[in-house]
Amino acid sequence: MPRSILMALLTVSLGGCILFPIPTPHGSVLEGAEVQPSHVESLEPARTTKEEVTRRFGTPTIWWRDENILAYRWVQRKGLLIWAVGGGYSSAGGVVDITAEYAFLIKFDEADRFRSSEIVRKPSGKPFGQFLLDWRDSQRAKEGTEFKRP
Amino acid sequence: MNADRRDTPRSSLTARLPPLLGALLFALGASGCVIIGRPPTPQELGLEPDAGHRKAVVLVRVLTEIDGRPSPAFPSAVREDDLWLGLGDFSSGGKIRDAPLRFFSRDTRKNGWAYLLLEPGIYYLAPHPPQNGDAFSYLASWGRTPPSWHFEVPRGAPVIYIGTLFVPGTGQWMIGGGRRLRRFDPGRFEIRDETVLAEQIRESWLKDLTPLTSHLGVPHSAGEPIILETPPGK
Repeated sequence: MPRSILMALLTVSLGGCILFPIPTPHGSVLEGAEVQPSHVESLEPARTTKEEVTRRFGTPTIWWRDENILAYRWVQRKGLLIWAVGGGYSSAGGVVDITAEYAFLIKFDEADRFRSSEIVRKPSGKPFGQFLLDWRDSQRAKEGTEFKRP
Repeated sequence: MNADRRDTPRSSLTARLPPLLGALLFALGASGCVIIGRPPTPQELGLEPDAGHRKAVVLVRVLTEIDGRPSPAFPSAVREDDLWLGLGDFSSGGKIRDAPLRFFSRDTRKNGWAYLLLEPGIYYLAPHPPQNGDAFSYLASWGRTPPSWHFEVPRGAPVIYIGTLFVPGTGQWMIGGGRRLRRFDPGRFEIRDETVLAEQIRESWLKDLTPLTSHLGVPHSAGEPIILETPPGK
């Protein structure tokens, strides 16, 4: 085997990567404002208005206009990932956050009155738009079931 | 003897260069980075008639200044090396991600012209500086980029122009020479109307797509909610 290939293989094998995750059970909120389940209990279907909701919870992160859904979104730290990469004469390292994303989703009717809401953790890897569509469909399915009830 | 031994690898490398360059150009073209030298076909644009013109060609121009001196926004067409645009859409919940920018030619790119293929909907736009640190920090910084403008792609519009974004900033010297953008000066951001130039671009590169309509981006402030609309067919 030529010496240059041997050297290249040796360099590659001496290089390395370390990933060290540290969980943080109830980490700080990194983005947005957390909505507690206890804050949501006072919302009354067909009575609480959208204006009252925005007065209580502030400006929403998202207004899904044609579905009349408001979303309050926040990102919470779930852990820290310490990483280091080395190879040859150089190396790099750092710390990055492991995060989880949540949303408080509220559906209003045509008269801007509260219909349903839920605090949901967005599955990691799922695009936010798909997460919204899935929630809308689940609410529709629930409403359909309730409608069929005698 | 020694001269022969030195020449042989050089000749071999010279012989290998054209196929290597060809493969590199093919890879760039196949990844949709740059289309150089000819107008893209409707199939390449995803605008063939049976698609019902669901997507629009969205023209945008980006002008920048580094420390007060005009500089091309897209000198290399490589996201990490250039200033790049971020786009937020329904899928991202309005969060800014790197935009799938396309370019008509090297000249139009160096003049700051780029285009996107987008379905009707509401979109959010922001400039993003080149990579100046490690890859983790660079990728994470996309998620922290706030939208600077929003714009709407209406249904049935084949080509729209969303404005010329002026995004000046400060730079740093590079080891290889030249200055590279490091930080934006958002207080000086502007959106300019160059509809006449956009019409010339359409005439040169998108002859079959008409008319061009202007829907200039609107500044988006941090306190405003992200407005979304259900994408077609969802």
